[in-house]
Amino acid sequence: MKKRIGVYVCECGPNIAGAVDIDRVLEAVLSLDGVAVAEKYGLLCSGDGKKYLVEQVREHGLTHLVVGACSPKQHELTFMTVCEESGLNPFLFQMANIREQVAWITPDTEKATERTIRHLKAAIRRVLYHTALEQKEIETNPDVLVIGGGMAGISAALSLGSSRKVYVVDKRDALGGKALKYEKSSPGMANSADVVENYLRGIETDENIEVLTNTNVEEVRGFFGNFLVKLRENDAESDARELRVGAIIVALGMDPLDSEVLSEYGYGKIQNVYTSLELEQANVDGKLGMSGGGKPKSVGIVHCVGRKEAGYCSEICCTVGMKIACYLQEKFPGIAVTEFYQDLSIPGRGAQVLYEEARRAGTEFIRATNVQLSESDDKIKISYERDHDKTEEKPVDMVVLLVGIGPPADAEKISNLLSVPLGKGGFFTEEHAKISPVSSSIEGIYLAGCASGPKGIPETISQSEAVAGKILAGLVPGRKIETEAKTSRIAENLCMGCQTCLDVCCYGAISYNETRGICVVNEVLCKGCGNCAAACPSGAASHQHFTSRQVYQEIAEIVK
Amino acid sequence: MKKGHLLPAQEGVSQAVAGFLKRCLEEKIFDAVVAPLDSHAGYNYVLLDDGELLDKVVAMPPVMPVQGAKAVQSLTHHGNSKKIAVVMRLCEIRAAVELSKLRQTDLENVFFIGVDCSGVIPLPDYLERARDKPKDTELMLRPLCQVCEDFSLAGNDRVTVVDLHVGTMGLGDSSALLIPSSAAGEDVLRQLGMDSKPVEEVNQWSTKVGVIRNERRKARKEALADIKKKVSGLEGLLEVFSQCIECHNCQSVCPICYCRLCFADKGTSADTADDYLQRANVAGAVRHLPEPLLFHLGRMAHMSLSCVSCGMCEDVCPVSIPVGRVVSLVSEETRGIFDYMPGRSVEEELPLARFELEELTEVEDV
Repeated sequence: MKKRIGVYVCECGPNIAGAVDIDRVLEAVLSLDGVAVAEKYGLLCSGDGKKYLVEQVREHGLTHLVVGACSPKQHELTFMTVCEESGLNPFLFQMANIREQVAWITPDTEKATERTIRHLKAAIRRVLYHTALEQKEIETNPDVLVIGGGMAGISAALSLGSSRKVYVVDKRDALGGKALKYEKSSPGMANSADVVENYLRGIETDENIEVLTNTNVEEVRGFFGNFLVKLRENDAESDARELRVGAIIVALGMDPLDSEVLSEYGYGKIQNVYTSLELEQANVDGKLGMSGGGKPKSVGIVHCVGRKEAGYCSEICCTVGMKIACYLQEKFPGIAVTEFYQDLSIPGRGAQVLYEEARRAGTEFIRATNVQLSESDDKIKISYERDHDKTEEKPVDMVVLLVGIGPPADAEKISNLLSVPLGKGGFFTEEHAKISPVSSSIEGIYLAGCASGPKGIPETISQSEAVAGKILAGLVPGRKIETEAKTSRIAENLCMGCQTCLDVCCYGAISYNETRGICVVNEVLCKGCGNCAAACPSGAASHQHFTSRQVYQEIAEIVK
Repeated sequence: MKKGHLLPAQEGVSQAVAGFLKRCLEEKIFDAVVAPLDSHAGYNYVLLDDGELLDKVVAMPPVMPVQGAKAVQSLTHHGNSKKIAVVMRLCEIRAAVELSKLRQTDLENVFFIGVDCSGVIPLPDYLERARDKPKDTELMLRPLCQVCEDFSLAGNDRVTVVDLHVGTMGLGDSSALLIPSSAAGEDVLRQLGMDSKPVEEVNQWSTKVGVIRNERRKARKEALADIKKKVSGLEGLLEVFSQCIECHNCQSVCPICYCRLCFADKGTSADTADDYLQRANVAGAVRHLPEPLLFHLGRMAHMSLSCVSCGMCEDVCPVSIPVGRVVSLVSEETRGIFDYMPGRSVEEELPLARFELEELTEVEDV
């Protein structure tokens, strides 16, 4: 069939019209091979503009569409939808960014016009080599697997249970996680155990939620909408259980930072030196006090334990320290509590209030560096540098180390199972720290709570509910999901099975077929990033919408 | 070096190595051996499990008709290999290791025996001498062999994949050293009761290798500087590569070039006649066949990190382009960026396959 390309230049108000001689551009491209029509329009992205384009495609019987306008990031989808409406395959379309890349940055009209012509010629040349791609739809399973039954896991499960089956897996023998270890949670001092138990009652009464304790995840295969998960109970004798789910939530929580840092503080050697988590547990158990019995008369709370080594602030320890100061003063009236801090992190609405409350109750705050502990006559001697110069000492009965939050112990194992990478500090990496904080790089696998970094309970619950929202919106029971059409392909007659592509694929979309000795792309998982096509030494992997020929032709035209 | 064994070699190193391999087969330490054999006045890698034929083993053949890594690839590409001992030059072993990272060789059951390398004579020169010249005519080695630093394992921490090494340099003609270089290598000598710990000979060997290496290192620096001058800039590259007749011999003999169909042969960038004319209008003229330089630049990009400087490519170039030295020069610089040494160890990942958060910062935000 004869190719009939329609070229449309958007004036974008004065943005493009004011900087480029559009009439000259149209004249220059109209004579090119295959171009059937070249027109300009005021604002192509407007309702009227889109209607105009649909009519043009039909009227001129266009086979390809080229639009010179703004950045594809802004309106590529808009015009692809126009293509669909007019019966044109949306991949037989190419956009030239003549606003950001030309009009806005080229003050000289003559030059801007020349450059616009180049950009449009490149787009016209490229579109000739496009092929029509088809979006596929696949059936999905709406059920959800939650790995980890702490605050993050159970709150996500509760938000999802009303619409689908949810499996909550925890390797421990009960749900609840770390939040059960606190009597109160800072900064609001709500009764933490009550909150957790409230949630757990909700879990028990929800028929859609199945709890699998003492259970480990052994294998995960598949992709968004169709995961196949193998679980096994802790005792290795039992049979594995297989589940089908559509999405997975990583809610593994946290573990305190490594004990090596602790030993530098004499933890484990000096009596009455506790980690914050131990003290909180003793408080919940009603066993608060000195190791040989008796009440402490003075307590030192040391902040930022492990911060320097870990390289990040754990966000919540400062308020935990203040919370502990408050309840120690309540339980042991007259006790002297001193907080040894380096920098105070007390953001948000509640923390400042808690800080003032702790001060009012008599807590002393000392800005101290180089804090060291040693034993001296039944007491613990805390030596420190005040304000970076004076060395001082303070004897106390008891020391609480505010240990930073580290990644969950299972992080590496689960990371390998799910192909979700671990990042800084050993936490799970979000798809994007700012704009996609609860998604992972693998579609259908979400992160909630401390698995992706230190968080307090409110933030954890917000994340869990955000994840639930993503799943409710994206994985609707009975609805199919559309897969990416612009995927990679591996030509089997060229593939030598070197598996370089496996190493660079961020989506776990490529697998090695041992019997055929070649690599294969799973088109549902592939997001079309093109890493494999760039890395393949044999030229076997290629991106369907960025073929070498398309890119070559585009560049050849632009550098002509 | 505290371990090792002195192997008597009155009938030459090849016979001594053959004797050693025979014992290994008898003791069922290996199921088979791959080694260069003198056959029909040529040298070929042969797979054998037969003691008789081992008499024809040539531990250090004067030529390299096939890069040994290709032999290992052809044998082990599809896995399931029995235990085989492979006798090769170090550059061949290193290429086989590079190929293992690209899953083209499976080294699980391969036992590498390296041999002190006396260098390779370019095949055309060798054949010419065999035909027309007196047998004792002195022949030059491959240019890359003349400047090779990795010809022996003595004092060499750049190659860690050899299991057992045969040292011959500095020892005279009547003995050779068997130096274990891995746990498996030590194991084999233990099983055979070969443990004479020859201190003096090891010293002689190391000293001799050290002397040669120092000379080679200096020569390599000079040779690469010389090549660098020749190929600098587009003009220099065109000067050197314009003679290319696009036979792609260099690609077909390169042990690292493992693609089924070369990118350059796929015609991906081939244009229509009209397009060529348009390009000619812009550029002034377009050469046909097009882009020999693109082919060579492509090879440099694809091969340079894994290039073991064996010199195969240069041997087979019918128009004497110093292609091996150019790629070796580029290789020196590219692997320098990643602190990578091709064939140093199986575990060292290819820079392309390894993700580093902080990498190539000098080219960021340019």
